[in-house]
Amino acid sequence: MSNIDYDTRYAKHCVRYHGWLPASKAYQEQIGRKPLKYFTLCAKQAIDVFMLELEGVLLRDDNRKLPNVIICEKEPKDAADIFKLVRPPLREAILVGELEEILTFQDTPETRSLSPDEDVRDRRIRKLLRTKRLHELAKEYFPFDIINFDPYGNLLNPAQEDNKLYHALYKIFELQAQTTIRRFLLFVTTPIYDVHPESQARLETDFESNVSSYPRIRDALESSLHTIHYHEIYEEKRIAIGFAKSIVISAAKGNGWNHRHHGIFVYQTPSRNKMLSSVVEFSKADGPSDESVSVPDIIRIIEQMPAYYSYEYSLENQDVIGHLEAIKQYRETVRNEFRQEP
Amino acid sequence: MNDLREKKEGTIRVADITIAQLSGGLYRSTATALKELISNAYDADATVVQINTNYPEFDFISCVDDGTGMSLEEFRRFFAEEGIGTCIKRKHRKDITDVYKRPIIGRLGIGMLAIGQLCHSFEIESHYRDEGGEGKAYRGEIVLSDITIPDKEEIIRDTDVETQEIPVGTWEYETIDYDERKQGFRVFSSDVRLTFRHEMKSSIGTKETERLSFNLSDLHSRFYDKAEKSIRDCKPYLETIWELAVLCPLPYYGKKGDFPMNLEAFSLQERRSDEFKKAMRLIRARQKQFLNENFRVIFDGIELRRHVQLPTRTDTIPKLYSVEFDGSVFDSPLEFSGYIFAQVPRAIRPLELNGLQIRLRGVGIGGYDSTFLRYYKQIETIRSRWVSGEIFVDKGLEPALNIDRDSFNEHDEHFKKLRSVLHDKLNHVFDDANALARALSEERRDKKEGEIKTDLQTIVAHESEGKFKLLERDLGEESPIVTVHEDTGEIILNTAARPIRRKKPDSIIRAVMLAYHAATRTTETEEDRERKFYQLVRQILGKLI
Repeated sequence: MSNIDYDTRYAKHCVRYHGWLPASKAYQEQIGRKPLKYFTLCAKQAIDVFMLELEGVLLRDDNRKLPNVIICEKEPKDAADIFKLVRPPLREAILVGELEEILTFQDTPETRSLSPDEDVRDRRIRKLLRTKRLHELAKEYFPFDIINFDPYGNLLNPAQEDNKLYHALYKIFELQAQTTIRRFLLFVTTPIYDVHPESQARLETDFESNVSSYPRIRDALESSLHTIHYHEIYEEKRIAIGFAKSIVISAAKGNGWNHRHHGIFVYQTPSRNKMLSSVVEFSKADGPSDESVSVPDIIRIIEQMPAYYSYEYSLENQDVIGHLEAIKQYRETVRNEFRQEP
Repeated sequence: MNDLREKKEGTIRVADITIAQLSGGLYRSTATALKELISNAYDADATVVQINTNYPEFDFISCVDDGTGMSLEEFRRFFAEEGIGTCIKRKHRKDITDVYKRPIIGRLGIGMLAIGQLCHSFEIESHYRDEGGEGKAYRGEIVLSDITIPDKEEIIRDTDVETQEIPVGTWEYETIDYDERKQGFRVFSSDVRLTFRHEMKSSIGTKETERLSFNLSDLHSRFYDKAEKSIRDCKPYLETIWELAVLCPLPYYGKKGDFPMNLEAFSLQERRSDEFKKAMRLIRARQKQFLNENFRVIFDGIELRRHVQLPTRTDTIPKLYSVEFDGSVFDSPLEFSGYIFAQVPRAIRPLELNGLQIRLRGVGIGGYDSTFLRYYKQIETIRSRWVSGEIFVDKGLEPALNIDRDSFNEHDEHFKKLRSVLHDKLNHVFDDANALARALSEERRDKKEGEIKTDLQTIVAHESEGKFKLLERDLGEESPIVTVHEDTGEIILNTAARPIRRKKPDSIIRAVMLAYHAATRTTETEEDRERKFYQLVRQILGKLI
């Protein structure tokens, strides 16, 4: 992951440009508050951070530092690059560790009686305690206005029970729910190739259950796709619907969040593998999950989503290329300004 | 003849436990440990070295430079073959770096382990070009053994201590693809020691608002305006930044390559003196040298510049002195130059800049020495607080440097010579400072006496409603303290009268007598006299004391 050159991944930038950015701006306008608190698993190029800054969603303070931006990076060697690029101190520390390990940490008999700040000689226990401390720290950082859950890993493989990333996603909803925040925006990205058979089966079962439980969903499928059978729907569409229902909505509902998809985007990597990124806004449900909100959202997905960006298309999309170039240029300007500081 | 007599010869070894201790921490402070990594980058012709501490959590340290990197052969030689403490930077009498012609700092090859003081284990990544110009890279991990005090005791008591190999840690590496954008050397660790974290964390308040966000000029202002006396007021995090900025071979803080000095603070006479001109030439030449070396250190996003106390204020009398020595001591060359600066009569602030900073190959050794290398003559006086200076050693003295690169062996002949030259200069500096202080004190006293005289004249004229004016005359010791000439309207105060021959009591007696006579001559009734006398005594003594 760390060697991927995101500076030339235009298909991914289609998602940022058409998905993440307009949703962030709309959210910002809606809540009328600046700056927003942003969590990201940005790669070392930090394109999302610079994009949101360039577009006025994130603001630097008087000293040109970026407050309210929390970054998690699993690779220490890449954390060093992020430090160089995003210009620390962000006023908040980078969480250097695997997000899924950090969020889903649970005490073991070895760590239960130890403070996260304990210095022990056993390297393995020290590592566990470090994760415990990061877990406590991450909890303190919640809530966020925008969460960019774009990890190195697959939410559909391994299957849900064994998928730490899924548990981390679930934990995000749980931690957001424990705060006073009423609504937030989530970008969640995953590969959709190499899907685990059990995940496939789960998406299909949930799909069929929806079809049988909600006539409106069944009607929407028939009118838009002319079928109600999962396998008769083309791959990107059926995974988009299934991912929304079985992964995102399932985790959100379990923690009392209503959902509204701004968009689902499927894009190709240079090796033509397919990735999916959902842009979803959540609002706190006042009671049990609200089907009057949930069903229309699923229908909208059936009717309008996903948008698809092939690798080839992205190479010809001048708006997107120009936008990414502008971000890179802005990033360079910030770096140069930083170089000339004294 | 004694058949038991034995004669042998051989080399002297250093016990492994001695070397082992290097990995656990040798350095006085966080800054002096980090300084070693920065020195390595400097020696590798890096133009930028970036250190990050993951403020405000301090649970991750990285040090990334863009220098020539460390070759895999060197890594293997250092960790796997010959061992720590084998440095080849000065091989073949090499004394300066290839690209920027910097004086090479490293000698022993223990600098990289300095990070061991801050973390239990660390990773490294090096992207470099081999002798044939081919790009190569590798990634390695070093896990240091924690040799604690009980362990050391155990080893020392072990019967096999003389042969026992002490495992300092383990290493591993893997070769990776060369990446030109990563050319250089990087060290990083998320396995930081608790002592480091706690020390740094103690600088940060729990409230969000107490978290720091500053740029370089904010930082400078914190050091000079907000640290009332000492940088210690700034707490460990900023203290570390300060210390690094002082110790590293960096240009002075200042805009457009200049340095922070206000020439207007010096008198014209001082500015015209040869000593001043020479010192200025030396300071400018050093600044130019550091700028030409093109070396930058960025700590948590802030570029460090060397802080220095040169005159910027006009409320002191500053004097600048030059120091130069180029000679041979015990057949070995010793060359140094620098400046000493005294500001009369104000203490150097922050006090960490009081004293002499010895810089060996540009690197500060041990911070400013406020004992002036044990200069005994003035050290107990307040005047020693007025002096600051930097001495740059270009040749020699290195053998005197202790292994922590933070202090000197004071028995070394080069060190003794350096000290002797500096102390000779300090004699001159302090003689001048004393003379200036005396002159300044006399000037102030004269000024004050003139002010008092005017005040007394005003009081007498006012209280007598213009009937009398006060004059001061030397009428001789035998004459009365006060003489009144009603016809001319003069009250004469005899400045020669010394009733008890002590300055302050005498002036009080004169004041009381003056008040008495002035009150007597300007009132009709006893009651008025008493009131006027009281008023006059109160006013006159108010001015005098």
